[in-house]
Amino acid sequence: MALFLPETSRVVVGNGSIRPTGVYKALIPILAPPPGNFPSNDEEQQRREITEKPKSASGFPNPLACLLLLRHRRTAIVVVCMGVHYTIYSCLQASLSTLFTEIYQVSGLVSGLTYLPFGVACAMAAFATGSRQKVSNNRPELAIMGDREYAKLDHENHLLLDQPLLRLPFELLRKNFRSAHFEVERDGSFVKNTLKDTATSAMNGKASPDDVLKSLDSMLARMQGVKRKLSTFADEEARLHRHEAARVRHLAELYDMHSTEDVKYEVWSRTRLDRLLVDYLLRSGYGTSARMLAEERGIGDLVDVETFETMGRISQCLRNGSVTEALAWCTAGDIKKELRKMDSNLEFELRYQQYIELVRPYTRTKLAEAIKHAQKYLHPYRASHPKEVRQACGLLAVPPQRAASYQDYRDLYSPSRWEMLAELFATTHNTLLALPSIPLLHMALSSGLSALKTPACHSSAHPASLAAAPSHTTSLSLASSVCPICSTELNELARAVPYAHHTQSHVEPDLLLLPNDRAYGKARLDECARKAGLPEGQVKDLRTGQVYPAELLKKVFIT
Amino acid sequence: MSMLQLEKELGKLTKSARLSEAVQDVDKIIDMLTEARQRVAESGNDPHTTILTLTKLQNPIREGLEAVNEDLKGVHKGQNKFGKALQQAFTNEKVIKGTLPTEHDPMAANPDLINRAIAMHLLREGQFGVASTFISEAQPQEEDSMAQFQSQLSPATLASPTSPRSPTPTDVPIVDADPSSDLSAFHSEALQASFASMYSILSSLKAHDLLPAITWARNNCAELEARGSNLEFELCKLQFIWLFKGPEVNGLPDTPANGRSGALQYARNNFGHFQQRHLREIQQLSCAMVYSANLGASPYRAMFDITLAFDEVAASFTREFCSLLGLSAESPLYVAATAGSIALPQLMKFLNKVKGKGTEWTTDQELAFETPLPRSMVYHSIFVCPVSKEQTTDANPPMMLPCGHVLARESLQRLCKNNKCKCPYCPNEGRLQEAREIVL
Repeated sequence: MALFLPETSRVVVGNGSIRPTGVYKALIPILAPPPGNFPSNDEEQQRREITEKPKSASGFPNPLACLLLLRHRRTAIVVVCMGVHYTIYSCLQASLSTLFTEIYQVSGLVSGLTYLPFGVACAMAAFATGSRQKVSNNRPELAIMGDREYAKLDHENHLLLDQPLLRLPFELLRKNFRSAHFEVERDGSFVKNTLKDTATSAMNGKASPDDVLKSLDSMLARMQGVKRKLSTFADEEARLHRHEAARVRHLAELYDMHSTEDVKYEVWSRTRLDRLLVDYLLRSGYGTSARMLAEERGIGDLVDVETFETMGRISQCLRNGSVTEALAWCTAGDIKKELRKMDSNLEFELRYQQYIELVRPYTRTKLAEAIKHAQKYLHPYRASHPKEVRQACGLLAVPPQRAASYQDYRDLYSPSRWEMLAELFATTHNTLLALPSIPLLHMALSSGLSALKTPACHSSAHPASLAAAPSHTTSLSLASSVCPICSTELNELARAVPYAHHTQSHVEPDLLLLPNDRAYGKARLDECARKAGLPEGQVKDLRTGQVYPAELLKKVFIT
Repeated sequence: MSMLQLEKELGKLTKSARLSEAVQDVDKIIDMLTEARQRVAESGNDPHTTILTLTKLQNPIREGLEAVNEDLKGVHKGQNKFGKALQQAFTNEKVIKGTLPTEHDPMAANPDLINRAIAMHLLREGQFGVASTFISEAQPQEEDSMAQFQSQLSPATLASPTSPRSPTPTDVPIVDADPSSDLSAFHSEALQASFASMYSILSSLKAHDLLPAITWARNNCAELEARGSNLEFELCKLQFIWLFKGPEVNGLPDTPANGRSGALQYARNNFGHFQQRHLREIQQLSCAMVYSANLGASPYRAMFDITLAFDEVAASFTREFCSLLGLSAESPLYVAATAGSIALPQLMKFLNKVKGKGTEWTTDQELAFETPLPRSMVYHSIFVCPVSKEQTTDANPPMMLPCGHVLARESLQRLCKNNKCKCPYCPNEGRLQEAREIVL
């Protein structure tokens, strides 16, 4: 290879960008006329001539017409080379059968069989090259298909953001069930025990019928209580079932769509945005707006206004300096058990805050109360939070006025602890209900903004101050719409995120360069000129409005 | 198809596991207790009956409670099953596993900007009620923070309050107005008013009344022309055709200002200043007059087919209106959220990989992975240098060689040897000076 075709060696020509020189020069170009500079336009022209089919495709093709091709010297050289090669090959093949009969002494019929493999190989080769050809012919189509591929929906992964949507009602269902179970367990065993006790005491004659009646009444009251509670739980359950069903149905709708181009997808995606917005509003504590938006959009079943409102209320109470509500939430029913299971220190922190508030006034009675409180509620935590409990004891010796000189005690007295508690509560609440810790809208936005962002969006040439003017230095579809990142709403927000990575250029087809160094697609230039009513042979810059004669345009090749 | 599976499971759950059954069982217990109580009460003071009733009551009550517990157990079982199905729906082999990316939240730093974006989104969607509630709800806090903020500032800086946004690493001067003052700017209702007017024009467009839109287009014709849009002519043309169709189609009163004569009159009054740019189309429209008797069979029928025209005009009107406000036609928040959910799987894949390898991606300017977005979401020309495979930026703009091939400037400089460079894509050579920086 290196000997005969040196111009194909990598050592000599690199990746094809270095011209072979001296002895390495290829033979054929020497024989052929000098290549001459192929102006790219000519190349294009030729290609078009070749691809354009002759008008009269009908009728028998003239086999002699192709001989005209031999007039081109380069073609002739290649054809001659191949001809020689093929002649040698054919001679070998033709002599094969005679050689066989001579050497192996087989009959002519048997030696004829030697051609069988050739035949099979030829057939297979025809098939193989045929399908290979098909693949390469379909390349441009594939490129289009590839785009469609991008628009195709990956259902399973498209719903990643929606896991909490289904998860929350389920967690609530479980919580609801646990509370119900708790009630039934407690009151059930009470009724059972009371009944047994009453029966034995009645048997022993200790209880008068009046007592029996009384205990029966209490049992009845209990059971009625259970019934009342259970029916509220049942109602809640029905509501949750309805929510879950609505959500599953909503998500299942996605499976009917197969492309992001689908009209139905847009509707669906809008609903999703509304959901995300409501979620965000609720988390930020804008309950009224959230409720209104959910109502206006009719997505009450797809959002969890109640859950977040409860949470928001408790958080607000904590921010206002009251632990009662949060403590009530912590200790209600079975939540206490769940909190212990997930190793939450929420209850401890709340109790601790209570203690601090008791110490803060620093009066004798309050201090005594604080000590009692500590014995009752803080002491049990001494194993898990030794440092905090010790600090709590130390706090007794440090009145708030003097705490400024001690970092740790100052922190304990500082009002920022309330904010911390509110946040701790929110996180605990969210983990308990399997909710993500940050609003889903943040997630969608940070991923979406980076995906959409290009270096051009915050380019210094981009006149952000002139937002009212068509503010585009570079835009694919200037006429149709403004890029969302360049739009005033998101521009500032997108500053913090990285821009998307691309491995392929996305530019307009048939780029033409104007004399002012701006490039536009041919189709758009033509359309613009038509709209502006320019005479034939003139084009107008879409952004600056300068008019140029069409001869000054240069073709741009994007590889 | 995991959602369909889930739907089935949910159906089972709602049918089988319900607390209401337990309620019925509790009811039965209550009935038994009431009955027993009655019997005891009726029996007077007969201890024997009391004892008998009580002993008789023991077993049924126990059974009743067991039944309730059984019901609860059923509910529990159903829920567990559904929980498993739910788990499976989100963790089957096709789904990218891993938790949602919550550790890093670049959005948390500037809630003001998000609030502003949401407010603008609500306004542009035409939900003025929600928008005003939201603004007033978000406002007090804003004022608090502003007050706090201003108290920290010296009076000199008060005159020009800087953005409370955390400083970004980019040292580009922030020309945009202070976001919180922007939010309060909504109260001045400039934007709200403009969107309200947009919606009123759109609703009249839907009612096939083109006049408000034409008035708007006429008032803004200079800007529209600068954008290369011929919305005004499109609207006028449609109005002409609409009048031309006559009272039986457009339902307007049959006056001389309607029908063919009305259309002619309209054309005389309004088409004058379009003559220079749209002479051909005006000629076509006026020639069509001749065919008014059998328009359907004339060569002009395509022009007079206006079944879709109103929708198209409404869409292009929205686009132009928003563009003149410097906003994109689609709500950016919507586009961003949609793009976000399309790109999220890639992000999670990447995060999982990073976590698995224990490495970190150090370039914070560019994402590490490609996010496949549909064509309609590519808004800018993106040029990736074929040599360095990097996107061109301001610092590294695309350069065109004399032969028409384009490279990024940095790679071009690297290719050059003593001011000469050979195009990597064709045999041409050129000098560095001949390469032109282009704007795509």
